[in-house]
Amino acid sequence: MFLPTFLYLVGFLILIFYYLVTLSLTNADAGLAGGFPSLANYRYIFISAEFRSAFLNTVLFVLIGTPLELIAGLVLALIIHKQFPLRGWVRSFFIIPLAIPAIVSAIILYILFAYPNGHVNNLLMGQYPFFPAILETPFNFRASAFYSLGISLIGKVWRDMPISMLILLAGLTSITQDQYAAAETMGASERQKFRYITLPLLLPSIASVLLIRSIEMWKEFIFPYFLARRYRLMGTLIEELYHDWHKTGEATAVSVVLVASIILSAILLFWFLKRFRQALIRI
Amino acid sequence: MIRQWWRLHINRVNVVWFVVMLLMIIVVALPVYFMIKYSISDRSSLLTGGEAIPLWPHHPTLRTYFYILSYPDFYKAAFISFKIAFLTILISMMVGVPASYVLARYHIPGKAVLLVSLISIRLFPDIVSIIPVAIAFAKLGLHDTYIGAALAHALLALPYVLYICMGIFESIPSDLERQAAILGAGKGQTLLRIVLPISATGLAAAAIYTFLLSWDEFIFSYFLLGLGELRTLPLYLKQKMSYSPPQDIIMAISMLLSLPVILFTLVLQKYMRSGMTAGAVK
Amino acid sequence: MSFVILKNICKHYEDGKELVVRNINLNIEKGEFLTLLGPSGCGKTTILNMIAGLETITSGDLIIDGKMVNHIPARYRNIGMVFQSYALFPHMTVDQNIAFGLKIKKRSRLEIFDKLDWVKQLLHLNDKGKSYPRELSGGERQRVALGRSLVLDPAVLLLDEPLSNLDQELRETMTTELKRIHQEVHNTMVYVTHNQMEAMRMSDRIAVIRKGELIQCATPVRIFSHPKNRFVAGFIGSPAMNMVPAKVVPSDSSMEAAVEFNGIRLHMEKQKAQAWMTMCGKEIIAGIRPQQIWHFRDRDGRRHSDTDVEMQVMLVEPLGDRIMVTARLQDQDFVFLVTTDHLPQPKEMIRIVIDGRNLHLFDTETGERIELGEKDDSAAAASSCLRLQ
Repeated sequence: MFLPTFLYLVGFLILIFYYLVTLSLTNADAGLAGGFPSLANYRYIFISAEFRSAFLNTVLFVLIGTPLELIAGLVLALIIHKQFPLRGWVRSFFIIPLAIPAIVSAIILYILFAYPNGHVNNLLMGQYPFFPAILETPFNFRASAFYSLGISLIGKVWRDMPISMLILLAGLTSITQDQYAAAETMGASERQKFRYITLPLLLPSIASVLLIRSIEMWKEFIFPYFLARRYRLMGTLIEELYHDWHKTGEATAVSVVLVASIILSAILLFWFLKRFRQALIRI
Repeated sequence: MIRQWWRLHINRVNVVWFVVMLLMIIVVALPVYFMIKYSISDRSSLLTGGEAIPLWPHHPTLRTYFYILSYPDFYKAAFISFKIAFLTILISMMVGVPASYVLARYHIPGKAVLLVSLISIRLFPDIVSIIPVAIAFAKLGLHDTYIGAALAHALLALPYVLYICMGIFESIPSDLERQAAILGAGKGQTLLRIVLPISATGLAAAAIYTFLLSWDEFIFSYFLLGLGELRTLPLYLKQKMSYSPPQDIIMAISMLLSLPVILFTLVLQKYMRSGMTAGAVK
Repeated sequence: MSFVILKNICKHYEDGKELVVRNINLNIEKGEFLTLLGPSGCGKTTILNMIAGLETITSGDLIIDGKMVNHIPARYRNIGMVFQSYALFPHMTVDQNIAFGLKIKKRSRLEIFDKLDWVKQLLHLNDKGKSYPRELSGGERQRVALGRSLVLDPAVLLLDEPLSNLDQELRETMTTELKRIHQEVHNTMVYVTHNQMEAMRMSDRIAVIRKGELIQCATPVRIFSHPKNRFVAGFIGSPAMNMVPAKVVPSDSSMEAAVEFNGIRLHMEKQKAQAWMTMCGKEIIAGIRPQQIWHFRDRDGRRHSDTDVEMQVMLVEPLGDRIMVTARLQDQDFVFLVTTDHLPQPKEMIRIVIDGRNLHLFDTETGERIELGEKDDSAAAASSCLRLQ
């Protein structure tokens, strides 16, 4: 009963792994001579400016996006944590970004930031009565690396913030009132309570969020695909290489680099968080 | 009475909290609002010829919906999405449920390996996994087939199915089954008449989750079906995008695509909460 | 001046106008172990929280060490508190938990380690320093909770039913432990419980609380021998006091009264019997402690106040060293203890002796104990917790 699943999953895993390794080490251009194994693909991408900019963009994407997601989730969780009427409704409402398919969210942003005539441009040009004019001519968001990647980042954060919220909420609710009361009787101020009780007890949840969301940031494809076509992240680069150019070798090489980056960053983050936690509470 | 409540609750912290909450509600609502707005916009609200796009359409209309719903291509895409989704449920439940039962109840030597591979699958971006899968499927003749897409979707869904169902089965005390055995029921009967009914809601949740996963799925479908005959709804949407059609059509299609998802998610979010967070907070 | 003074303390919650705590007046002396005793929901925890500063005081004054502290936040009151749930910080070791208060006050490392050692020594936690709460047993966790507060040398130590979560055996041990610690450290301790045995064993004085009101505050001995009303009488002492509707009648001698119920007559001690002559004819509730009833064979010699009775045994419950017997006389059930020399069986008749001395006589309507003809006990008067006029 267990076997099919086992084979299915492990089978796929092996398959993927196998192909990635072999294909990336196969030099398609070498024809019959050379071929496998060869580091030609890797050499190629490490030289290519496209790859390097994609790598850099991805790193920035992860570094900026992960904390943003944490903060967004924290804000939402702290809002919901308070007892107030209609609390359940508001929480359900906050889940909506997650409910909408990613493509749809990406497309909505695409339309909003349209050039020359889109809502955002209209707004910035002062064409709505309640908002002052900041620009004189409409701005082509898609033409700027900063803006197009920035918008796709915001889209991703918007879409996934309910997940962070749920994880952090679970962590918040596990801290009992009694512990705060005990700290109070021992002389702790609000700030001290936050530093010594809330923060450390919330740290496992925060760690989970940072770890999981950072991995998701590395993997992101849909938002940059729709919103930042011209400026590649590694994910979209892979798509371009494989789909448009049929350069399987290079595509898989980039894939391997991407997976390696994910694993590396996960390990680094894990180690860092552990140290941080121990540092917080030392006598 | 109300005045007393008011007095008690108005203070600096509470005001800040309230303002922030309102802000976040607006942030969450805004994109959804625009999606709805565009889907009911009339022509003049879209092709403004240089004028600002109105924040609310001049003449809201459901015309776009009727148009799309009468379009055969749309139906075709929706139907294909449905079919694949159901196939996916079939595969992932048939494979996942028995396995999760076994995992929940017994100690299997391969358990650790399985769980590790589950996590590892999640480490690979979809875009990375799809290349080997596409190549292999092409070789096996699974390219551009229902079953191929379903197999790929099931791969994505299996970790979740396993996780949710394991949780369900673990929460059913094994005493119940032992009791049934003492009363004379065979293993098969026990499963059918006792375990299944109790776990039904949880299993339904897993099935619905799988459905939504497959329904929304873009990346795998794009690579496995994109160039061929079969077009799922997300692919249909993308295709429409590349011809740069008016926003109302795009958004109306989006709305139709999103509707089942939003509905089910709101219903499901209780399960989602315990499932996701329990695993995430390791 | 008393160390902790509660003066007309009242509390009611915003949504109800109901008074949860009514007019509590209590003087607690320095170094005293005072217990707030009462059934669940009587308000004793609320009173404790008000002393701590975790709940607001609606009206009245709270004075600690000469200072009025009504509006001073909990963290400045220099109190220590042990919670029913212990509230240990799960992410800190025992050392870190105990040292928490000192760390907050930014004491030097040297001082912290010194105090840590002292407390761990006192509570026998010496080798548990590096453990986490989840690794400790219930008793150990409780001691850590205690240590956390003790280490800060608080003016008052408050304990909120700390023993409720422990099993029987542990409770026994910890009760003695707490008493020992109090003797060694000599803090002022305010203890809250619904368990009258704990209260009797540990306290210097007990304050009985019922429905937000202070009923009686006295030493354990006094409360046992002179309960103020039916409630206190029935609450303190195990097994509970037997309450019988009775009538005051003249006894054989015309100068003394006796208490008559269910066909028997109990004689009181001489002074009291004479004083009660004035109340002849009055209907009262007689309270007889199980300790005043003996199996007739166990009672050596007879006193003037002894009365023989025969009753039918209804229920027999062995307690190990003694047997608890429930027996019926006409329509009234009596509970008492006999030694294991006797083996009463249900439905059998049993012959017992009731000692009429130290009878507790309560007014039928008010339930108040009627003190008439009792020996004047000036020590008892001095131990009252009410503010002297």
